[in-house]
Amino acid sequence: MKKWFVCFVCAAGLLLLATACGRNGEGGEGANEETSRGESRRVEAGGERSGRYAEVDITPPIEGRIISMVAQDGSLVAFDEGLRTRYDSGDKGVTWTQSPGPGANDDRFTNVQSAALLPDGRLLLYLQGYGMTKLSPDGTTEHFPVAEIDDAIAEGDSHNVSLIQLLDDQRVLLNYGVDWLARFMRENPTGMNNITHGQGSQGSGATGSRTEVRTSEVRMSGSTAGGGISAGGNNISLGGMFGQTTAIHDIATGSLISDLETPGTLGANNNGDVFTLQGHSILRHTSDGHIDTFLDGTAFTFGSASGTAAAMQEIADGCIIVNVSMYGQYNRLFRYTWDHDAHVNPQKTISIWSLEDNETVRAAITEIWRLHPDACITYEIALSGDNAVSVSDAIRTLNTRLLSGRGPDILILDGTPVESYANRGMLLDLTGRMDVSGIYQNLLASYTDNGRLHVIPTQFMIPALLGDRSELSNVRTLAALADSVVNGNPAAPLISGEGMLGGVPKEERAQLHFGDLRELFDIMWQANAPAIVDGNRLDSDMLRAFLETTKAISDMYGLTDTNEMMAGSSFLSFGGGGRVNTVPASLVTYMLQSTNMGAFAVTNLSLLHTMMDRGDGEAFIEPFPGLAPGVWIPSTLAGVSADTANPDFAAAFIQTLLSVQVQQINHGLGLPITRSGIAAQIDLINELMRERNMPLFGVDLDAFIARLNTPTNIETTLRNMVWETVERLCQGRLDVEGAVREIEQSIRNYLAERS
Amino acid sequence: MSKAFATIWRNVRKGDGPAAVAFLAPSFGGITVFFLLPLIDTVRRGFYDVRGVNFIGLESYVSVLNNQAFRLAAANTLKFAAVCIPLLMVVSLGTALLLRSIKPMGKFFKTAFLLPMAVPVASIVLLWQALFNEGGLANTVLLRVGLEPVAFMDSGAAFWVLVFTYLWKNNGYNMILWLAGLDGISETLYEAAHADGANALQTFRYVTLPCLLPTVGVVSILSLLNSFRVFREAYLVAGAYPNDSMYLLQHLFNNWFMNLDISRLSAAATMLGVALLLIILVMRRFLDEKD
Repeated sequence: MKKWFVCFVCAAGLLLLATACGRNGEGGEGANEETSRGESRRVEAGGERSGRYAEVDITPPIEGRIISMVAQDGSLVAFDEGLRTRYDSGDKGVTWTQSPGPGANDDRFTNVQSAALLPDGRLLLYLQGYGMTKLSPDGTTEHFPVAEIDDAIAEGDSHNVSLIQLLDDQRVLLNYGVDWLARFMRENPTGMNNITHGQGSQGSGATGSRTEVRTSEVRMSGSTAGGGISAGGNNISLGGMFGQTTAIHDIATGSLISDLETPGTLGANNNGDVFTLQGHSILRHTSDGHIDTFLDGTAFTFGSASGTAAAMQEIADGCIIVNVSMYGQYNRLFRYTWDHDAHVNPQKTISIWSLEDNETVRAAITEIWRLHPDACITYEIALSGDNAVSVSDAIRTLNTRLLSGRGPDILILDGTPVESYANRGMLLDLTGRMDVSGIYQNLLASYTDNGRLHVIPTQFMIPALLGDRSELSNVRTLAALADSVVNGNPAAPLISGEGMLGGVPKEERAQLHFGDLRELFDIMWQANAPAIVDGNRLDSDMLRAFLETTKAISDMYGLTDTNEMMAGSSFLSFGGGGRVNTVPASLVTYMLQSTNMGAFAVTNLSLLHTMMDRGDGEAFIEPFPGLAPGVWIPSTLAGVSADTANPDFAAAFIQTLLSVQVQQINHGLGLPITRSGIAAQIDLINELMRERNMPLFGVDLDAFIARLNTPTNIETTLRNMVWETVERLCQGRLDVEGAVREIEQSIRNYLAERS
Repeated sequence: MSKAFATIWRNVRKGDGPAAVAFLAPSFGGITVFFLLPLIDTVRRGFYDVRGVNFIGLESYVSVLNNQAFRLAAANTLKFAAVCIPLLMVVSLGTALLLRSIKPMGKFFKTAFLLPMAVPVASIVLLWQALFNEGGLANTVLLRVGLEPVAFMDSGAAFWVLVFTYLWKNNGYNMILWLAGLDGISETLYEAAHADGANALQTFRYVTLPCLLPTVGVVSILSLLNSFRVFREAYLVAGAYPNDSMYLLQHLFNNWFMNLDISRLSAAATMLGVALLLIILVMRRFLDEKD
């Protein structure tokens, strides 16, 4: 009996262990999971939980920019632009009282970005060209000495003070920086050509160092508060703040008390915690060096594509006030209060999965949460960047979960074998569950299969060629493009005798330019893939034509050389509507008047509008001349799992992805796929153009989009297989026939598996 | 199997039943949870659609048999097993005999031959890439001796690279099995053969080989099963879509899983399982007869 008992215990233990192991595996290997709540709490499957941060808009009646602060008694104080009117609220922003501000009769305060209310009733603010200033209610000013800022003024460096916040009656928190470009120009007058033409400097625009690519010498190091490129008329210019400093200064003397290593500070509290914005979340840096996510912004306005937190402060009862800059044009004030009684509706609980972080999805989460405050949405990003999960690992894990019936409710299928999911019954037929009439029907038609709709592209891109009409009319086919490039000038001389922005004389310009072989391959593959691989058939003649043209262009421009002239050309960024986009080197050189045409995938209407006028004549746009006509690139492809417990709410989420509130913002992933989204984006551009007295958006997009009918193949496996051979071909390690044979061989099994 | 059940039943009748069941329960539970149930589910999925909801009969089996990728992978796998297993058995037996004949350093060499088993796959892959890449060590040597370089991973040579990997990795393990078999042969048999005037070859042919027949069964079955484990190396060296000559059933299974083609994957896996079972049964019958 003893033996029997021991064995029974062992067997039971073994089985329990096995069960425990199985439970640990739930949720997906390596997936980075974020809940769309204020706190990083999880919802148990099918259950309810209570408590969450609630967002309340407490913006005073101000249309434009708002300077907000908290007085020592805890009341809220806000000023409009120029400090013309003061607003006070003693009830956490529920009601506001209005009174004349110190700038009511004084124009000196129009550029004030931030201010703090001192215990003596004066405002501490920054005045351009004068420095930190204490401003009395009667308008009298007193200089407040901050050595770093005063030095910058004395040196003539552009500078900026983005945050002033009172910590207590003795200390003030300041966030300031100096324009790196201006300083760099002064210290390195000969280095400017390198930067402007993209071969000299690289920077992320957020943090890090700016490095001379040619010498690997770090020119300046530190954090970057902002940066970008603006283009218009005959000019293209760079700008950026560099060396952002967050420091605590003495209110009485202005002397430095401590220098914090927290760039981009939003504020601090009485406990010594400092808050910063990291992506979509507000992080808390405690005085003992610990960093945690204080407020996940996925579900809130400050984490959306349209808003960015500019400042935050804690007030009584743990309430948080966040000043949010909307589209960089006006501000809104929000109060975040922990609501213990908030409930989650299990029927509005969904999870979303995507391979990579997707701004459009985040915008839709914010929007649907605004519409359904009782919803709980979990967003899983398989490749979060902080794990070693590969694409195939992520897809394998997803498939395992789907097969076990524990998959996510919504799949964002970019980078996955989309057709596999759609054709094998893993996705719900969305026909009749949502309104898709606003989508361009010629684009949607490719995803409608016998009246069923399993996958919906919510954004798209168009491989295109930009140039003057005569140039474009000569390159209507791939062969013509190859001829045009081969018979044209060699690689674009990026720097002309006229200086860095003078452009190159037309007779010296190359037809095109690419930063590297990958940039050429990407646009070529996007435009030609549907003709090369049609269904489960590989067309060898089309493949040969594709390879010959790619090789010809690569050879002409020496794209496989490790040529420093090419390196880093595409680092420039363009802020269009919402987020920052990378501008391909081909467009940068076109804009700099070094080439006759620019090849790119249209993802951003603001950028397209800017590129339509580079100062030497009107530009035209045509679909990239590929082997297949009317090619477009689907993006943010959404589908609902057939096993979802909440199909209606999942469909409602996809409907939100298509809503004008989400589609009107450029998220950097493509154009809106709805007519209303396109119209809204054009309206926003035109509004801005009217303000600046500049030409309105002039491209007839509806006509352009009407020509599109073939979605390109976005499967990464296939693209990578072709890329490996193309790289060897262009490096001269294979001839065209060898490359055709190699691709035929490698793709044969890929296609056979799918037949 | 039937003998095992008969023994258990006999013990149950003798009154040792509860203890026997209790001792068997952990293993049986593990095998049921981790092997039998998934096996049954795999067989079932072969007859259903991807979601396991709609019965589709033999559709997946027909599709698999008509699939070119399956045919290529099956042929390659069969060819690989047909080449590798006899080769490994001969080489490992030769190694074992050699080791027995060099007794002073036997232990050292035994350990040396076992080392490849201890090397992690990732390290082997790095080594293989250094050896067989376009500009790798093997091609450098070929160039030095005036021969043309070989695209080892992008030509038919890839198959032989895989064969070499398999031999290198498994030789030590099989050698140990052979050594155990050799140790089981009574010395008196060798002494008798020697007294009868048999030379070394005759001793091997008429004493060693017949006595090793039970070991041949074990070694061949284990070699067959181990031949399916070479996929890790093939996948890490050449990816999901290697050269045609290296494209094995496991590549196909992996890719079908990635594409969520579970019905065909299950059907193919079931067919492979049945084929393996038949091969093993035939081998056992053959060896039992020889016994």
